[in-house]
Amino acid sequence: MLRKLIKYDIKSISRVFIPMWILTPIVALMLSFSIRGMSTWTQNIISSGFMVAGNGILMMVMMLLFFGIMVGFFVMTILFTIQRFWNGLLKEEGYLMFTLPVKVWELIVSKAITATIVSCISILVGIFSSMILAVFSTDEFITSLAYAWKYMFGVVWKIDARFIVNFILCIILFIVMLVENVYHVYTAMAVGQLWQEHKILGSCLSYVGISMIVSILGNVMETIFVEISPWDWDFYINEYMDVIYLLILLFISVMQVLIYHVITERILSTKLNLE
Amino acid sequence: MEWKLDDNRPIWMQLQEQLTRKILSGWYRAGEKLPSVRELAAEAGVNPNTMQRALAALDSEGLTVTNRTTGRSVTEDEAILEGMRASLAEGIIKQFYDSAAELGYTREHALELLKRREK
Amino acid sequence: MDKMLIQCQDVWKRYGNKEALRGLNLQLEGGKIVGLLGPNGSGKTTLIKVLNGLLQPEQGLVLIDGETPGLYTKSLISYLPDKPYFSGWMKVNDLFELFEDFYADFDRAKAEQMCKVLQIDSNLRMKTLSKGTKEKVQLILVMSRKAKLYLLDEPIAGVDPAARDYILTTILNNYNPEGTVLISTHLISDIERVLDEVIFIQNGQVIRQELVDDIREKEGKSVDELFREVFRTIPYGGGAW
Repeated sequence: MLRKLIKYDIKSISRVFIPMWILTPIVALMLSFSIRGMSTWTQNIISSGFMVAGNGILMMVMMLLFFGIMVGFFVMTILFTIQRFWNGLLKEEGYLMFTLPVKVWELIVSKAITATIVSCISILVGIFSSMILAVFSTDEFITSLAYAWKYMFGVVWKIDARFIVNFILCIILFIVMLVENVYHVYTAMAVGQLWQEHKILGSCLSYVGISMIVSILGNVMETIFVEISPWDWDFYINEYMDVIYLLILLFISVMQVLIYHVITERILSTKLNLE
Repeated sequence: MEWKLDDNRPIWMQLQEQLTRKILSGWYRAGEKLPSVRELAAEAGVNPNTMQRALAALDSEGLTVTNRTTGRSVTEDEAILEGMRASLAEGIIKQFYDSAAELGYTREHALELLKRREK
Repeated sequence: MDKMLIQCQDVWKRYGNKEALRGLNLQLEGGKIVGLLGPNGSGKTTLIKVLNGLLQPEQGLVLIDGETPGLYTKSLISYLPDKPYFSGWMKVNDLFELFEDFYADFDRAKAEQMCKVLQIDSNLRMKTLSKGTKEKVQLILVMSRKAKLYLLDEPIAGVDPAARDYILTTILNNYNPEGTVLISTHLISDIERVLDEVIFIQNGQVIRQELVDDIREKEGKSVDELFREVFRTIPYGGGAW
């Protein structure tokens, strides 16, 4: 059943996101060519030492434009994550979803998985579009990129087993943190729908409230484990500290996801308030 | 033949009366198979359970017979049909006399009126 | 005691400090068409949502076919809500696919046939359909299931008499005869002919439950008349328990 739910969720968002995912790199490409066109055009007049300032401003406007598109793109991703949960489960469409013979956890997990997939693709498309913009707008970018690449991997990092483990851990951590953020929003909405009126305000307040609780808990934990604990942490600092640190972060995020999930599931199972 | 139903009286009784009339008037002939409960219910715009109850009443009167394989059909027993017809006629005549009595006519006087009309 | 299809015992549901159900008790057996009748705000919609699991009562026991609302009861119930619940981008066909995917008792061929009769193009998106057509599509979906319990919340409110006839005939011709149909409405005269039984509900309590032909036989009046009488004699004003 979970697979079927995900199929429907993906279907419902793909009609908005697929055009966006196709359009953004195209906009980046068009932008990069216009930047290139302008810079050659100004290059010709620069010899007179005249338009240097103008060129800089134009480049800046273009960059701001692209930056604006990227911000809009991510804001839309976030808004859509919220909207799919709010409208899909807590408004009229919820009448359909909550009368389907599926378990409540399947409804939530299906929304979370879809939102995570969409966010990941959006981020990849964002990176890809920035690369397009950079590569095509100036010739120098590729050479400087190649130089930076060589420097980073030749001098700063060594590509060995350790590096690969860390790299994979980082990616997993990134995805788990993404899921954590998605669930944070879901939990806030689940709590918010308990309000008799002003459900949206309730959701916003619970979002802030949850953030505060998490940060207080974080501080408490830190105090307990680091400052007043009798253990000598220095003893544990060894050459695998970076891996251990990533694993601890991963553990904390996974726990957060689980707690958010249980709270959301319990609220929607026992206190659903579809009026 | 239209179904005429009045919400103030039990629907199943009205259905029974109207089905009886349909059978006696030859709308459904002796031995003819009746439509299914669902079809009849849909035709009359009533609940199948109500139609079922009316048909069961017809069964118990012997006007219809239910066969496990072929379904429900009108009886071929002329005696039953004739008896039913007679008792319906009886009812109509009784009603006539009762109504006449309400207007103050004696039985003889009422019969006299009926005969005079026939001429 | 044989198994009841619906059993409610002392069910309470509050919205804030407003009580929608006040210790409601109800027993209903299978295989009937039942009218859930009551004035606006009497708790009809709340009761239906409690039965299908969209609302959780604060107190009391709700059993459908012997089980509390959950996965099993949801697979038995075919629910027609009081307002359309579809996202506009979905095509009629998408909805058929969805119902086919999730409900084992959905008869797609039947649904398609009903659409064809009404000349509804199943490739159209929901948002392009008129309000009346949307309601018809929803009714088609609900009645194309061979469900054990149909919960129809105000199926004939706000439609013209011709559409009303269409809706009632569709329900009569398509419901699963072994199942029970519970129809909530305040338009009694339009519907009473198709009912086996009526439940009168007021102030969140069942005040009368009877076979309609028994009402006609005993009282010599239609359910509609009885309804007007009952709800006139009981003085209005909350807090009556």
